[in-house]
Amino acid sequence: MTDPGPEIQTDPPCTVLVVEDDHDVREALEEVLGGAGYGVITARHGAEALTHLRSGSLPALILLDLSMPVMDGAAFCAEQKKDPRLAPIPIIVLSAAGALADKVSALAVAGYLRKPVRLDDLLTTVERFCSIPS
Amino acid sequence: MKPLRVLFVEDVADDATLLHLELRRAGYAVTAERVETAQDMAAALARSPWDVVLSDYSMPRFTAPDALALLRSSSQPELPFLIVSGSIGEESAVASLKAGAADFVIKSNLARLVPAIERELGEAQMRRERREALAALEQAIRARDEFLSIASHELKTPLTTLRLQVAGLLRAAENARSNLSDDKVRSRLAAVSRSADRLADLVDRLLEITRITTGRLELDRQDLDLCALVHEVLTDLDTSLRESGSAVMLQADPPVIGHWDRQRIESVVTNLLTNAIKYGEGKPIEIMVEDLGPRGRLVIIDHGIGIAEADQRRIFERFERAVPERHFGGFGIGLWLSRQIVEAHGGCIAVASRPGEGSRFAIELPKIGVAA
Repeated sequence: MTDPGPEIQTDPPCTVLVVEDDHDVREALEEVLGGAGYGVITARHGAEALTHLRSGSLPALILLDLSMPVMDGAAFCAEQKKDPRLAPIPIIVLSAAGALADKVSALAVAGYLRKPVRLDDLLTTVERFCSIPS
Repeated sequence: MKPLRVLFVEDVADDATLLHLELRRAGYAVTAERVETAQDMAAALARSPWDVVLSDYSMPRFTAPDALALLRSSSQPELPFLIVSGSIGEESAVASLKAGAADFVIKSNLARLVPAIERELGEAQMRRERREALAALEQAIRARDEFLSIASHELKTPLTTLRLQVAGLLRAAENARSNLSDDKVRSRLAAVSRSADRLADLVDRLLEITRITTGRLELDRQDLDLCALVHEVLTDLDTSLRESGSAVMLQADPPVIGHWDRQRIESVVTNLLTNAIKYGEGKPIEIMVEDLGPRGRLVIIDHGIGIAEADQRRIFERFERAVPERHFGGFGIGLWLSRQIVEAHGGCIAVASRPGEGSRFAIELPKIGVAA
């Protein structure tokens, strides 16, 4: 979880895309990130996230669950890497999967957080990629 | 006649015939092949399964120790291998037995042949059974490990919501500038409460699984209307139904009353409906509650991904699911649990499905204990 990636054009400057299939977790992430001053957009799975990314402005960071219906996290990463416009957006995996370190090392993402994540850890990590203008 | 497949490693055809006759006399229906080179033996082993190898000790182009080595590195390494030969001297005999030959029978005393073969077949059978029991045990351990990993994954999802919502609300409460509306607070507390319920449900299911596997499932029967129950479950699942986009077509009118365990039948109905929503691809779901006189029947039909024929029996087994876990949440045990509960009521559960066209699940429950 070190390289924040190259600067990219985003609008608004601090938007996080949350990709998560569980309704309550998605909503919780939306609330706490929104409460901390971030713009939040959400998607229920990888395919929906791609649709968002290809039709609108780009977020500064993607918070990505791994096990999701339709298109899972790994498949989403592969698609994102193939699209030169989307590839620079850093991804933080947020998952309850076992052997998570092994799983994410294959995905070449910016970092990962384990569920159930602590709010402080979540906000510290997000802040590294996406700082709110005070 | 007991069938016996014998591979003779023997250069003298008459000697093989003699052994063949000896086995026939003992009541065996012998299928045999005779080989006298390593190449032919390897081919015979690769071609078909055998019960026993009877090998001469020394042949012009092959020996018993070589044949034994070849057998051990073949695809049937545990076949009993007996040496049937003229006198070969103590040293060779001992060396052969040490190398793993099961026995040594002298051609001039063939009376020992059949008992030796029978003993070896018995032992081979025991080895096979032990191996199978071990494999079954290993499979059960793998399944349990997989179940534990899925269970912990499932528990972490509502825990994530709990942690984030509670910490977020706490933070807002401590921040004087926070202007969280009462509505917001209420809806976030509702999410907290839902997550606590989910955790409690998951723990209940874990306990239920333990109760069933240890044979301690006791039903708490009471008069219950299956129609009303289906209505209640539909209300509980309202949010996920709306999210899925599936419309519900419901036929559950006159009460269908039986003497059933409310909580457990509710979990069965919830499981079947949750599956229909999960695998229904947003297409309509049909639900019918029918009164069959002595029994009540619930039918749930979705028009989603369906289940391949090979998977249809498997899905009622423990820790099985037809689609990979990563795509759909849940313990992968819901249908097994449902079947156990329905069967504990003396009822039955069945599935009919075609991949790509959807699935039809039906349960039938005897009404027992209810006056007509």
